[in-house]
Amino acid sequence: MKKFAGLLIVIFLCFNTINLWIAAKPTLNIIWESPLRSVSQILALLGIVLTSFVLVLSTKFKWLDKTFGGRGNVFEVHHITGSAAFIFLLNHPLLLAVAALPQSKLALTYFFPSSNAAYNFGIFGLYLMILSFICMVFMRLPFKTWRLAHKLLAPAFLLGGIHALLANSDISSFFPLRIWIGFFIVIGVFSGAYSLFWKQKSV
Amino acid sequence: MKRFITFIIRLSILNFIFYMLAVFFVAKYNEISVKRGIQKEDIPVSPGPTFSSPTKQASGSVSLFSQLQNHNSRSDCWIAYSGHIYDITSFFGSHPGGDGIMLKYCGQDATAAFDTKDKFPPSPHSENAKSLLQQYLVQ
Repeated sequence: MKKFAGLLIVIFLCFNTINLWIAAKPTLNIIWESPLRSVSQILALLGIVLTSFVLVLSTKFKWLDKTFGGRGNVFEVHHITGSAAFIFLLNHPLLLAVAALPQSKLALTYFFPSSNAAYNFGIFGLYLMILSFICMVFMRLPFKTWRLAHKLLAPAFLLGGIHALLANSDISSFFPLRIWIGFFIVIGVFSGAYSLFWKQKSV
Repeated sequence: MKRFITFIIRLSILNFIFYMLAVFFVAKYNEISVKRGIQKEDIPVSPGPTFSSPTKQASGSVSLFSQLQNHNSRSDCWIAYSGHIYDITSFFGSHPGGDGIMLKYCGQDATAAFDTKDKFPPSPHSENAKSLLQQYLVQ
């Protein structure tokens, strides 16, 4: 049972997030009217929630080992969920750009910094995340350098969290979704800060 | 499993970079095409009439403001902004705030709504959004 704890938690988190996102829509027609935009939105929300969960796992608290049936299982859930969250977040601006493509100027704002500060936080966060993954996946680095690259994901999450809270979206317009996502952003940021600054000193 | 995940991540990153560059070059190509088009025709974009202007202009051409109210649906949406008419029909599906907010102003003067985003305190659109709007200028 403990082996499936990670899977059950991920399913619960995804289910709740999707439900809240649907509840944020005034009518269901809006979802089907622009399907790419809808998929992009849901991927972003799932990406944030799952990344926050992954950051909690990276704290290596003992109760996590007990819950998941050992450090090995925690690592496995961390690895798979983190990879999935990264792919979700990577596809968020990509799908928005595809949806906006007849307007190439608008499509550009999803990839390059513009006068929209809320978007810029997301863009810089995503680029930091990509840089980190390029170092980890494409290069063969010494472990210390690899770990340093891996740590970049915590500040990237912080930037992404600011983007999520500032951008004009379902999060800003629907209070329960704002609370849900805000909670995960706070938990993720604290977990990331703990892993970066305190965990090392205590070990 | 690990190899598969690594492969998917690599593919996703390459796909992202490829698409980002594609969008960048398409945008640059469009920009150059628009500039060339203006140089060829040598027709400056003239400012349109103000919202309170008469339906018949001094030049004799008919003002489109009298027709604004007829273009009030999702499939045919015109708005007035700062004395100009914009056909934003093709922008549906791309507005970050959703289609509903645009649909509300089809066939109407959306100047105040655009400048405040219908919010209190007002939250003006970015310069980028304003330059985007210019792509839909009708008059």
